[in-house]
Amino acid sequence: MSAYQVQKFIWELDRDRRLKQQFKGNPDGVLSQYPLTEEERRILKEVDTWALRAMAVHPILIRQYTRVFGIEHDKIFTDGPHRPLKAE
Amino acid sequence: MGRVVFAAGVPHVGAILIGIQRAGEKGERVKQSFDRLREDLRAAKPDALIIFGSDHFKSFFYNLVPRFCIGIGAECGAWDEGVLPKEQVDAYRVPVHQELARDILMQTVERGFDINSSEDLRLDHSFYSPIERLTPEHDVPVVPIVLNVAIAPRPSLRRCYELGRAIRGIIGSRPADERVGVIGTGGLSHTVGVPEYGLINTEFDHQFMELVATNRAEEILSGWTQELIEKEGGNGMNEIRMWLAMAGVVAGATGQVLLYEAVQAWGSGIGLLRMDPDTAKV
Repeated sequence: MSAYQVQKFIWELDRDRRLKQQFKGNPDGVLSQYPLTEEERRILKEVDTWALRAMAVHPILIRQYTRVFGIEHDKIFTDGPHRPLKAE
Repeated sequence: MGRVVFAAGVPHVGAILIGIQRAGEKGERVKQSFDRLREDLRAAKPDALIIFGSDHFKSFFYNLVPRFCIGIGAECGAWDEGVLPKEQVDAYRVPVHQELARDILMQTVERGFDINSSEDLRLDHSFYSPIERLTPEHDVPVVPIVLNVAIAPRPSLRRCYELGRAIRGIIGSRPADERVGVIGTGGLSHTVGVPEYGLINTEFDHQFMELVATNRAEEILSGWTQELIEKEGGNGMNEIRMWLAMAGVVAGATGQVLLYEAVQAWGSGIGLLRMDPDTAKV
C-alpha cells in the first residue's frame, strides 16, 4: 500500500520540528530517505493536494501537510494543484 | 459514592485559544461563554475532570489505531501544533488523576470495554484547548480519554454513549464525596482537509444540541447514520462522539445550550452546552 508510505512521511514530518526544518532546506534529501516512488515525491514536493486526495491520503494529513507550507485551510484545494516548495 | 458535579460539551478548535480576534464579535462571545463555564466549573469544585477528546494524527497513526485510549500516567504533555507557543508546548504538563484513571481503566474492561491505556499520553488540541480555557492553572487533575473519531472504523455513536454510562457507574463506585466533572470536546459541523471546506450546518448543529439538552440522545443513537453525519455536518462532525460520551456519563439529564455561533472565520459551528448532572438518572 504505497499511500501508506506517503501518509507515514506526512505523519512523521508533522510531528518532528527538526525534520520539518530539514525538509524545508533540503526536500529532495529528506524525501530520498523514504521508500517513495518518483511520482509520490513529485506530488509531495509540489504539494499536489488533488493528487494526495486521489491517493486517499487522509484529509487531516492533507491539512497538516499543507500547514507546513503556511497554506490556509480554505486555500488547500483552490490555489492548486501545483505549487512550488517554499518555506513558511 | 463519587458523583458527577459538572458536565458540558465544548469546542476544541485551536482558534478558541489563538483565533478569538480573527472571529470578531463571534469570537468574543465564544470567549465570554467559556469564561462563564469556567466559573461554573470552579463553583462545582471538582476533584477531577474527565475529558473525552480525540487525536488528529498526533499520537496515533495507521500503524496503531486504538478505538479508545485512556491516559493513566502521572501527567500529560502536549503536541506542537502551532497553537501553544513553543516554550509552552515543550514545558506543558497537566496532572492526571491517576487513581480515578486507573479505576476507569480496570473497571471499563471488566464491564466489556476493552479500552487501551497509555502511561505517557501526549495531548493534542482536542484536550489542551478546552483545558487552557477552563482550567488554565492546571489545578484540576484530568482523566484524558481519546476516542478515535478520525480513522474508520470509528466506534459507533451508541458505543461512545455506553462508554460514558459505564464510566458513570464507575464514578458511583468511587469513595464517598469524590466530585467529578466531565467534558466532551469537539466541533459541531465542520470539514477538515477537503474541497468542501467551510461547510457549517447551523440547523443540524442546533438539532444535535437540542436533542442532547432535552435528554433525547437516543434519537441520535438510533437514527443518525455515519453517512448522515458526514453529509450534513462534514467529516468534522464525527466529533459529536465525544459529546455523546459525555452525555452518557449523565444519562437521563437535561441541559442548557449556552452558546451557538456559526464561526466562518474558523470554518466551524461552535457550541457550548452545559448539562445539569443533578437531573441524571443513576
